[in-house]
Amino acid sequence: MGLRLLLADDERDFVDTLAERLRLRDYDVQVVYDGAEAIRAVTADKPDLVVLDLFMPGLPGDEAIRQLKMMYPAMPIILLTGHQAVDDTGISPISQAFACLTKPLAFKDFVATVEAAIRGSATQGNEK
Amino acid sequence: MTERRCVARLFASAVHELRNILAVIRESTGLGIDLLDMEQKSAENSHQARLHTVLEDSQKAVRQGAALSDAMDYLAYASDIETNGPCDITRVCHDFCLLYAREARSSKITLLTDDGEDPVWAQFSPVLLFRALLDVVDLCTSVGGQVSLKFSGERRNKHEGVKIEVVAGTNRELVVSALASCPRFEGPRIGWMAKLMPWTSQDPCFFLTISEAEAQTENH
Repeated sequence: MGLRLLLADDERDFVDTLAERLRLRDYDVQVVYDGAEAIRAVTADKPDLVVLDLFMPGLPGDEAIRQLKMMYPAMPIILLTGHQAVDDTGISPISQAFACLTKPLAFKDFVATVEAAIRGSATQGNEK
Repeated sequence: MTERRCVARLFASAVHELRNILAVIRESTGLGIDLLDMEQKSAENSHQARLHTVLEDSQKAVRQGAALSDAMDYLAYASDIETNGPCDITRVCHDFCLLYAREARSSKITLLTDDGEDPVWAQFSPVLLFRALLDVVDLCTSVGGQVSLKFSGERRNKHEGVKIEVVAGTNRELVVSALASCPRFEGPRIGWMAKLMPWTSQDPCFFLTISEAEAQTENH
């Protein structure tokens, strides 16, 4: 199996389809629909990379990334948002993410960001 | 909350929803292309059923996007309508549910309305009603959300307004109690007030009306 990705987004139609496209490209993808589920899934399965929607019911993405980075500082995390220009949000946890992408995504760019994040994380691991 | 702030919040939520709708169209059509590519490579591997649902999802997302665009268009021009109306309450309820659906979902609040209901005309600006509905949802959010609210245009005792039904949800009792204890909202515009009253003493339903504050004072 390929790289293990966890996608967390409450927009089910979007995230389920994105996951299906990634699986066609041999990624091992797990999908959850809120931030609390994401924390549980990361703790249980320790994926190679996490993709979090910034605005989710329950535990929002900014809080989820804060908790995840406390537990797994080296884990690469990509944020997604459909809300507004990321620079306007003033949410500090964004700085802890590898990248913050705005929906709708160009799939090629998304995959390139995923690959870059994992390469970056592997390089970090080797340096340590 | 100023009217400009009200319009900005509704637009921000609608844009968020529209981006999600576009994201679904983009991924669904992208998956369709992926499957077609695979179909050409492997004749025995049929993806017809999945392709069908992918294209249906795309069509559905386009319909949602078109409805949201109509609502945004109505809101954009609503502020040009005179203070004394006319306002189609049924239309405002319908459009409010579309425009604010995304932000309401963040508080686990589902906004519902019946499609195809007759217009209920009132003599106030639609923006005043958008603002009052936003106040109602804010109040529900402030006590924890997690509820479904159904809005419909109604005429009751010669007054036009919105029937608000607290349909379901784990936090229903607290939301009903909050709405029952907040009979009036800050004036949506100087000289105007929004008033919330029980529909009947038994139902978890309320009636939201907007009227000129001076006229209300004279009545008392």
